[in-house]
Amino acid sequence: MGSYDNERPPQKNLFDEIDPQWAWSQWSPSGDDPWNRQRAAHLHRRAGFGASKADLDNSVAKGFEATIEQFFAAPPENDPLMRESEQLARTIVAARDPKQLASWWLRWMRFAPRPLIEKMTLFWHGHFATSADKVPDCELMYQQNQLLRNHALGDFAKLAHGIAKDPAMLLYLDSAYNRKAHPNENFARELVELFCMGEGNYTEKDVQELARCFTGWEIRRNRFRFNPYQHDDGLKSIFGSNAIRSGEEAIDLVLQQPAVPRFLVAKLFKFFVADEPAPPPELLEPLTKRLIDDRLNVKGVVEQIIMSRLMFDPRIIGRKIRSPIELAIGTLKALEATTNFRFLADSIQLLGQNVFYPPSVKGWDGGRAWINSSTMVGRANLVYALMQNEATRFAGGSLEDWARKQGASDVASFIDVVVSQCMAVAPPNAGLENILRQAKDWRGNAAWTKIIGVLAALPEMQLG
Amino acid sequence: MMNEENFRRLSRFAIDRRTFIQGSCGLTALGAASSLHGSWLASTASKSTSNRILIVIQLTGGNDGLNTVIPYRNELYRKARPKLGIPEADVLKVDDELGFHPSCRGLADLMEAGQLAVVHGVGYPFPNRSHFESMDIWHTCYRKDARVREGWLGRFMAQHRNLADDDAMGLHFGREDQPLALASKNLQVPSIAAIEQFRLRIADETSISEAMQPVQEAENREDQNDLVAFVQAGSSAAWNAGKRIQQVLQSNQELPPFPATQLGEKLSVVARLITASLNTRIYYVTLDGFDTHALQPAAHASLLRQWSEALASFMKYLDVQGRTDDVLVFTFSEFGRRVAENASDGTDHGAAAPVFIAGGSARNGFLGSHPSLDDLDDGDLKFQFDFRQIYATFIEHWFGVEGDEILGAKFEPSPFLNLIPA
Amino acid sequence: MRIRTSSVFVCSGIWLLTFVTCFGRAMGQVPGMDSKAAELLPDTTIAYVEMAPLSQVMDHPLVKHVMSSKPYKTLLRNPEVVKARGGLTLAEFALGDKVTSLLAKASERGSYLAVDAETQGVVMLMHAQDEATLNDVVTRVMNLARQQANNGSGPALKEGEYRSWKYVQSDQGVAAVMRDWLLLSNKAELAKKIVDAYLDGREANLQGNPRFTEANALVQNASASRTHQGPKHLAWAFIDIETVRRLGVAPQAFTGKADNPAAELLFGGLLAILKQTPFLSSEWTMSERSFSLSWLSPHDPSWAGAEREFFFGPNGEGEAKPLFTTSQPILSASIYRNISEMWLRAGDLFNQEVNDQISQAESGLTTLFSGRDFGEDILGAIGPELRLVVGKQDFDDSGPHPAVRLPQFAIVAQLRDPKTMQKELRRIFQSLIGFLNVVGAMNGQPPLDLDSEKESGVTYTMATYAVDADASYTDPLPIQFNFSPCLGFKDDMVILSSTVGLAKELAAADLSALDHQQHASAQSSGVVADQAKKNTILEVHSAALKAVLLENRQQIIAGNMISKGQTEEQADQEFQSLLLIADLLKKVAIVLNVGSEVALQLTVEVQD
Repeated sequence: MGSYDNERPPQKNLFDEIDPQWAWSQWSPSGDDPWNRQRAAHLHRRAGFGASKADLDNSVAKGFEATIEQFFAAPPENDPLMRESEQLARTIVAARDPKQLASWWLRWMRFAPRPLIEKMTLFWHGHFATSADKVPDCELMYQQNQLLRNHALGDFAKLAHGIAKDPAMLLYLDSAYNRKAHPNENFARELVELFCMGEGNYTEKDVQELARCFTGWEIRRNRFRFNPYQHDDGLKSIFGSNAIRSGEEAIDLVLQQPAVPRFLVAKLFKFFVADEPAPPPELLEPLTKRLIDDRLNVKGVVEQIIMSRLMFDPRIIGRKIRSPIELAIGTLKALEATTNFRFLADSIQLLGQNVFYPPSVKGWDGGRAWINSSTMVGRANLVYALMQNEATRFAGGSLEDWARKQGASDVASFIDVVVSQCMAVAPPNAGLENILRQAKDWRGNAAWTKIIGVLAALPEMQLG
Repeated sequence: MMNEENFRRLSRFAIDRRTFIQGSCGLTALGAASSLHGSWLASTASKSTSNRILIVIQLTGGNDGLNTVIPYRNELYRKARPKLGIPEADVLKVDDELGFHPSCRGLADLMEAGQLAVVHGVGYPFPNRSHFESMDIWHTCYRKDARVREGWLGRFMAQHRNLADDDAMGLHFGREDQPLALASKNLQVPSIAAIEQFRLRIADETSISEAMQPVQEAENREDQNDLVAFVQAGSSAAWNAGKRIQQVLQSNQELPPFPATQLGEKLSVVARLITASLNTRIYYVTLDGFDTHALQPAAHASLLRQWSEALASFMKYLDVQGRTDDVLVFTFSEFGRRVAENASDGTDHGAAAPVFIAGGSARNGFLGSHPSLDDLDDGDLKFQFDFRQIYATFIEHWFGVEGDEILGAKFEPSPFLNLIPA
Repeated sequence: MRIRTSSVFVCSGIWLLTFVTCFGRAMGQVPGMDSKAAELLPDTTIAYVEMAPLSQVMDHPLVKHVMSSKPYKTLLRNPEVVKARGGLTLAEFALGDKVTSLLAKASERGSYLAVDAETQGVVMLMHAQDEATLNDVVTRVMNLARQQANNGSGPALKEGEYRSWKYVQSDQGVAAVMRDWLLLSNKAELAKKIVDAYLDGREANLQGNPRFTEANALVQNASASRTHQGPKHLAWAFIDIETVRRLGVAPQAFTGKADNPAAELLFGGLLAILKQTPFLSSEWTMSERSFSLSWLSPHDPSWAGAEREFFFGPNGEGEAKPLFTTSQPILSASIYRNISEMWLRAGDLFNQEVNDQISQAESGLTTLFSGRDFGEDILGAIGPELRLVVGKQDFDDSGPHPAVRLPQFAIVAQLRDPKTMQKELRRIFQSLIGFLNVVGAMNGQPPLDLDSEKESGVTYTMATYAVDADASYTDPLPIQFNFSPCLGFKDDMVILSSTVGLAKELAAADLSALDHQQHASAQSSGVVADQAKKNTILEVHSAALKAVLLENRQQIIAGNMISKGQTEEQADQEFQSLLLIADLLKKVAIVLNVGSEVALQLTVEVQD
């Protein structure tokens, strides 16, 4: 059984052999390595939540660079879809049910015209994890969500400053009442450990001194307020500097530490490129440099990663375990489907990814942590249940209608359609033939539903 | 008390020797070990304790320990409980002093069968009488001001997650929020509402099962990178677990039935998962309603009946499966109740109370002496075992791993298990 | 919106016709020629429905009114309905006539539906005016059915003869014509039995079942007692409960202890009747603007037994108080139900699990009610006459108001010992509010302010949420702001209301006028004899319900966008069709009358 690290001989690290300069230079399609539907699907999976066949054909026709441009373009102004979704969010916020807000976000991930922004917002939500379990205030959770969205592909410094005063975050980290006499170390610790630098880059003393900087930072009536009477105005000594007084100065000082860009780049690499193995520092060096040059604005680095030769290397395709959200939204998008998003939000919770309810301040570990025997069954059951849910419509019709439009006339051709639409890596042929033999007499809508149910139980469905 | 001390020392020694032997075998077998403190214990102990499972039953609300394990001859008990006292004739007597509540027939049977340890007077210093705070203390081993958001089981599971192989290290049953005891920054425990979560529906509802088996197998895949191998393994583990559970569900006709109660149903799922050889090590279930401030007799009787019937059915089921030696069922509550009853036929929040450990390896009988009724701490029973000693026994003796870091300090395990190697 | 149901209805109409047929050619007199349907049906018939000719239904002023109403026409424009109707039009083209008209012709002298226990079959008999008319209908349908069978769009047909009578069979059932009778059944065996009875006569038939005769008489009496211009029934039905019980078809309804306290509270007495009564009969009537369905059963107060005295009262004489009339009613109900007695009798009524749950609940509730025994002290303090009022509440739109606007509701009961209980209940109410405030404060909810008031002999204790004066973030307000819990006492009456406004409106009601109204309406309905007591009265009004839906339009649409993954446009469309129901229906009423018979009547009033 392959799960323990300590039982297997050390694996050769794929990334040890890769030349950093080659890796991060821009991929350009060629005759041997063309921009085709498979490459476009990979891009849509990594930079978004997947795509329908029509989207892919569109991307292929448009060309690689134009497709990338579309991912990074600012959201269209006055987009009716976006207005509708924002109105929907406001209505839900007014009714104050955070679970419903989670359903809203899943719906928006499915329909957003700029999926990369939602993907990055999800990244930051895991990074600056805050749970509505402890902050059951829909308004504050939405406010934080918008903060993350506004800076999703922007300046990390602004985001860090924003999050430091974000009511939901401070309530979550028990920093809502941070008094001079009892500095609360929670936020200070997470700021360096989880948000900016990672363990091993600071001392306990740094944390204590940082905490002093944030005294007097309070949440009153759901708003941030600086209370000068509770602020410890003395000079603090952090990272060898003795000139820091305020929380703002402290954050700026943290952001100047060389560990910050390294920490962020490693996380972005894991999120966009591969769950494992961890790359050697040299491989990340060019990206770190880029992030420093861009003064911690992440857009350039994300773009460089997504357009890179390494990203389009065949060894990278399928080298991530799809998060439950990527699995569910990806499947819906591939099938041009809409569904009961409340049902989806409730079910996906059992698979370990409940948006607005991350398990701890560390967010979701991702990668292998998604998979154990109960979540594996749960994943297959979720996809099957989505197919069976009476609210699920495929391009406005039944799955049978959809299959017909895709030109799938029998079980064999339908399996082909689903494999090419929903999976990054095809399952072994022998296996598919085995399934086909068993299923060849299946007919009608129920048959298509079952085929997807069967394919969802395969290991390949879990890769992205 | 002297005997107690001796036993404790003895068993401690026995365990040490045992783990040492396992440890050295493990070392030679593996040829190398991580230098990290404690982890050699874990990786090697996992070989010998590989089937061991702990089920935790949490009685939420504060169970009235004094009316569960009853000092039925004690005058002070009669005095403190003029209305709620259980008449001597009704008590299920274990010895000349103590007996169980009449609803606890299941407990009495377990003790008869030699499978139940009852530890008297478990608690902690300076007892907190708030439900939430006391429960948090039991869950985290820390007081509120420490702001610890990880539970003792969460820390244990995160450190030793490899004990469960491809399965989840721990499972929580029920629709309520997950108990803090299971929380960990580094490991997420699934919550199970129904056994259906382990059944691959597509395989149950179609004839596809056989055809899919080969697709789940590894040899059909060339180009194996680590990640594919891992997902493959997880996938076929799930596949096999699902099939085993299916078999268990289909063959349960002759097996002892479970009561159709909330707890009975939860434990029946646990029993079936264990029978299906899931490698999960920690199962956590709760039963709420023990906060009996008023009209306690009927309510408490029905809760105790639900608990003891479910527990007894569970043990009977495992007996038939020959698995009682692999399993311990630990029952606790966040506190006991006051010794004196109140004016509305109920009892208010108290402190120390007994805990219960059922299993083939439980040292049958009572451990310690029943807390004195004339030496009270502000009207409450005094504790003689710290609850972290109970935890230490589970972690160190049952699972055979280092417990100090998990419990936050060194605690002497209490000797309620028969784990002396031959 | 149940568009689906209506299209199924239309489709099954087509099925009914395509599935039909054969032509009887036997000559001479046979015993069955002048038979009534009940004489053709076997004595093992356990359910029987007799319907008036379809033309009578179609020509009824109510049906004409509905079909010409705006909401109905809007419904016809719904895409799914249009699609279904398209198929129907095609079929009608092939048939050369309207489906409804063909059905009307086939059933000009009535139609009958029966369920036979022996064959477990269902049979439908239609009686046409004469043989020629029926033949014409059957020929048209058979032509279409054969055509569809040939091109595979309809079920395959097998035509044959039984005792020289032709029949046609498909996998769905069998059809035969006996001169002017059309017979459809899902079981060939049952069809044969009926043909045999028609040709040879039958000794043991439904007509000879004494319970059938009694049921018929019960319905006729009820019809007769609807004095001046009371509507004649359009259908009546009989269910042989005694036989059903004997056959053990639905054993769980007839035996054992209950496992569902809510079901027991609402239906326990009715289940007790089903365990004892020999039969049920039912009738369906229509008037200008309403239709109603009643179920009748003989009744003996001893049937309920002592453990269910809580349901009908001693000797079955418990009577509900008259309904309140409020300004914007959504639901108004009045019921005779002795909850305290049910609670105390739980041991007799429920199984062990439920009793365990009850004793746990009792412990918790007694704690909540500061040590007062919940079953005896709290429930025991109130009498068995309970009333429930749900109505739309008005919000001040100029100030902050809740995002989700809920209806207001109140429970009204009679106190057994007003003097002592008023004080007790007030104290309990106050400590409950205090408890809510403690729990609420832990969850960051706003606090309730307690207040009391005395106004024209009525005392109120109320709790209100204060809107924070300087709080801009409170726009719109949380759902709690729908509530201002209020406890009011007027004589022996206690009002527990979700809002102060509703409590005051109910306290101001003129009770003697209500009494008078109830007696007047009891006399005019005349479903059962005058000495009968109303055990339950329930009315649902659509006008205020529609208003509440409209007020919450945005929230409902948002809910659909999430739970059905719809676009705003789709969700809005669905919302509009929801409103159509309110535009079509005005009021639904349910009345349970108990006397020497039990009558449960459902009346649906449509909009003018």
